[in-house]
Amino acid sequence: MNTFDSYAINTSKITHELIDGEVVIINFDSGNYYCLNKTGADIWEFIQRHFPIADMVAALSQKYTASQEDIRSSLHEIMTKLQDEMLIIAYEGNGESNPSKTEVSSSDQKVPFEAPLLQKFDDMQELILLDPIHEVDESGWPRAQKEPGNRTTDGTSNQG
Amino acid sequence: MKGRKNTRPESFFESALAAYNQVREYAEIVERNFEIGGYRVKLQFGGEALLPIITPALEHLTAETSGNANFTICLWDSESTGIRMPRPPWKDSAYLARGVIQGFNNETFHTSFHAGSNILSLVDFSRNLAIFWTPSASEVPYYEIGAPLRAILQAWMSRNNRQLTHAAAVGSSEGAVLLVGRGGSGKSTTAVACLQSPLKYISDDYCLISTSGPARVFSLYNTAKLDAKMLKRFPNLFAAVRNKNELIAEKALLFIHHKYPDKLKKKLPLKAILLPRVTGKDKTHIMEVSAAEALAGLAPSTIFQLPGAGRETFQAMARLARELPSMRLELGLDFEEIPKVIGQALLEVVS
Repeated sequence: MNTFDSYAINTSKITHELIDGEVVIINFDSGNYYCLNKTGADIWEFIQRHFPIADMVAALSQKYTASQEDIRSSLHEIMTKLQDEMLIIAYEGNGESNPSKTEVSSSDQKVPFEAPLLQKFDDMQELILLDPIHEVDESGWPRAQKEPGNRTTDGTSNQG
Repeated sequence: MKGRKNTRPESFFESALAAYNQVREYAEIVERNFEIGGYRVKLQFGGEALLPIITPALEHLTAETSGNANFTICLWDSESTGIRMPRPPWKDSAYLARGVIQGFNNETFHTSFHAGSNILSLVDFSRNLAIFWTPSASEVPYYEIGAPLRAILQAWMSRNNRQLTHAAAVGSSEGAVLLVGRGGSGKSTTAVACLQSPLKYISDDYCLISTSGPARVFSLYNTAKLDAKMLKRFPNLFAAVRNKNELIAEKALLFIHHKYPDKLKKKLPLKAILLPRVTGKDKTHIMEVSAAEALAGLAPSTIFQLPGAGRETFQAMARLARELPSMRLELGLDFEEIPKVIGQALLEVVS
């Protein structure tokens, strides 16, 4: 993983929604989509607010019962995955850096730590990569070539 | 683009419209009117070649009388009319994913070309006017017959509080459930299994959902598609299959309006989102799932199939996933049980 001071959501490529404490992400370029569990959603919020890694660890430690070491290790793992999937990018501005501004107050009871999880789904990828080989005829318009065999359904390949 | 005319979406649209108006001089204009998503949509065909391609799936939505249209679509093919579409003013590199034409889509115009079907779709939102063109009606693939005008309807409906959605829908007098999920999850099987039950049928592959006000689902196409293997579980439907001789290469395409006209429901309030899953077990069960799981089942297949569907589509679907209860429908092997489980779930949701 490339290590940077802070990160940002790669909004030029993706869209995302926080819904009931989880995050659903769609990557328009790749055709992949993802779900982040609740812990992952916390981290996603920190990324949106450009928290440095150290402050993410501090904020998660305030909320969850795990050791800072375990949290740091899980955080490193999820950040690596998010970078590998190009869902986050380096942020070069000044991010928030005060963990006391997180929504978890010190009086709230800590909750058990569930490792952040990024589920990836690539079943739609072929729709984005679908590029029927076409030649342009004398009118200037593409004419799809019929592919042998396996295009059995509605151009969306086994959807329905 | 040196030497290319009509390099702006508005000028290309006008040139396409001029070509359509040439068709009017040489071919009979056949008009059909439909009520789609609560809107009056007028289809003006240049010649008759596209009628059997476009109208069968919409037949159940035929408007009783002609009247002022909210939206007009002009359609023709070059083979039967002899009128060509002007050359595309964009480069080959402008063909993006999902058929979107780079540089020819903005707040006023939609331009897409589905290369697999050879279909050009243009919309002028300011005039509520669209153009559908293909080089040859006889070469339009069978799957377009089952779900015609998708790009045009997606573009216009999304700006008029309706979202074209890749989902099946069935329901009762209590309301409807949306059946969502990736291909092979059992959406079509579930919808078709409900045909011989008291439940009403709204859609198999695509429907329209409201994006403002109370959640509602509208029927769009009266078709269903089943693979040949699953069709064997519904022998009474075989007579309704349109492409009987092509089932090795194609899914069976059924027109529900022909076989079960009384089963079709044009619209219902939307009450829940169901994610079917084939289990291979005997019994069918329902279990709650998170709204995030519902959104992941609902949004991607719509967004990645329809040109122009993007962030706003995702946001509209997220609102729906927040508003409605979501459940997984664990499908058993007894197909008669499936509509009973859905009916019971609907009763519990509305109570």
